[in-house]
Amino acid sequence: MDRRAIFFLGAAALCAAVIAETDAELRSVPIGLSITYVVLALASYLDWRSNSR
Amino acid sequence: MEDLALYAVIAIALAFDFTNGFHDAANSIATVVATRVLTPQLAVIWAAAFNFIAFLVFKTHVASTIAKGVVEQDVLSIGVIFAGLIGAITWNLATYYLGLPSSSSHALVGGIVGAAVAKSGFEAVVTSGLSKIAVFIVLAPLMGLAVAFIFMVIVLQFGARFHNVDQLNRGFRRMQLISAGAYSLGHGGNDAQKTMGIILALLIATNKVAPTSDVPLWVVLSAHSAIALGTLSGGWRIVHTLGSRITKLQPAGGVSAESAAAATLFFVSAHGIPVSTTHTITGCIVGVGSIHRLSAVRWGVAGRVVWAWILTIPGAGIVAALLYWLLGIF
Repeated sequence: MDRRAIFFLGAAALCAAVIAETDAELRSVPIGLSITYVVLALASYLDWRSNSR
Repeated sequence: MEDLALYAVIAIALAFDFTNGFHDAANSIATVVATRVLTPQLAVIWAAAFNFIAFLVFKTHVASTIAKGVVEQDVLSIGVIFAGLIGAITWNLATYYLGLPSSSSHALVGGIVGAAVAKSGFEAVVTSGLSKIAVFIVLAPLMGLAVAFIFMVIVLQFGARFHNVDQLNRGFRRMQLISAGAYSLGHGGNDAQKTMGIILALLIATNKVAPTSDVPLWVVLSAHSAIALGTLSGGWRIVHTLGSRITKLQPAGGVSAESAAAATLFFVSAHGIPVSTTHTITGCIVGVGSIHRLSAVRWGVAGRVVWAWILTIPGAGIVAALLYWLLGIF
């Protein structure tokens, strides 16, 4: 199991959780971070899968 | 008598700023000292100089948030700010003793909020301002972590093309001078402004300046001088550094972590958001450490940072509120 990908998904969830609480002018920050962490999780999972083969 | 109290609380605020520089110097000089790019003495001079000149780069948005955006201005008084400051200092000392890496910035915000609530109830709190700070307690380290991870990926891809490892390391060691300077600039820009905000709030509360006034130049210069002097006098004595406590950093990792932290601090300072510079660089170091595998990160330290996130604002707030009530009794 790729623990790093799970960690990144957790970080994405944390960023998504604060979107509603963020000022409208800064809301792009948690949204952008959530997307970035999902992409990093996917990249990390693919890296882990290619290394474990 | 009121003037005497005002000058005394300004002196406490500047002392708080001095201890911030003293304590946080290691964050910016850890990697340049560890990789012997600079001697410890030269490294603290380097960091202190960038702490000081930060006023030339950043506007005073963070100071305005602290002075006007955390609690209602009509609630602020010398007593509230004094109780808030002493509450924050007490919380910092208690958490230092317990080994909890709490943020002096969060303690300061918690202290001021706690003392204001003790005076006038929860109506004293500017909810929008406090929620912006609370959101970025979580977001700033995560922003630093993601940026540091991406920087590290780019650095490793770039480094893979080099065959001469010694030449590459020499290049990164030189780049550390720039990244450490940029981080110190961001540190000075965000942390010194919290003290400026406190002093501005005091001046507004005592009718020395108008509520719509900007931060006076003497306040800007004294806050930057205090943090720079703190960095100069304490930094080199701090042997244990974040760089080695959380994960072992190489020059490339140091450059990535410091550059990511600088970018994060530049962003939040431009938007007037007070954040913990220590937690931000911690997130960046975790980002660099997790590039190879998560087990490279010592999660005990990172986990204690999360506890500090949760406890600091309410903890410092309760201490400051108790202190405000005690001041009222005597």
